[in-house]
Amino acid sequence: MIATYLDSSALVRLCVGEGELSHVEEAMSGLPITSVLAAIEIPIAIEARFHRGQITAGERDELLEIAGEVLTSVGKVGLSAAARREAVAAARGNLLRALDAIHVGTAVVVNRHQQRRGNTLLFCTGDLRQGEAAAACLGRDRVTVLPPL
Amino acid sequence: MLAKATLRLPAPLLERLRERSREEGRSLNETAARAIERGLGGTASDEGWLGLGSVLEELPARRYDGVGLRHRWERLGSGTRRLHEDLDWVRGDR
Repeated sequence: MIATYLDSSALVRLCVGEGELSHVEEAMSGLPITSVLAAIEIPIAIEARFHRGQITAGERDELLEIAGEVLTSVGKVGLSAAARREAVAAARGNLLRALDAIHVGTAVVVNRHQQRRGNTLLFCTGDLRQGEAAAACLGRDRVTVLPPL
Repeated sequence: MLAKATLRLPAPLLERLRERSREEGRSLNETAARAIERGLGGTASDEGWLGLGSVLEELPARRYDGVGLRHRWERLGSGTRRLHEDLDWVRGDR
């Protein structure tokens, strides 16, 4: 089975069923991986939408429940020293926001682990800029940037 | 992420684990982890998850249910669209 690192921007689309999802769903049927960071980012994005008055409390709770289901179907990598180091390294060569860099750095750590075992890691994101950084770190053929919404 | 624990097993069960370990060509530890995980009904008994175990802080607790998710999407209101914009805000884009 193929392991795919899914950035929060890919997972959030799955929570609401928006955009082209075949690639994300294929990844979810294999070995989907993300950072523990996704379990913070996605619920906070949902709470932000509620605080802006764009969804009701009931809709928020429904979304949080869906996000919980999606996130518990994914293996999560912690914010280890190696992940933090690789995040900073990824930002050295690319213009990256801190949270984007943490995902890329975490994927680099998982990729190294996979390579030692003769396996590969794919990376899937909805963010073009992050996708470019991931391609620079992991190889362009390993990265899928989802079409913009 | 791996954690250490000492388990006391009935001798015949330990012998069965050793036999299984030899048959499958896996370490005793890996064989025990697979058997326990399978017994608990989780997903980590899948070949790939065991290989990734040492880098993961949390293994998935369930398998992805695309059909169930589709039913839930149908119930979502229009206010839930474009949630990625809120994620961009969380990430400091706006």
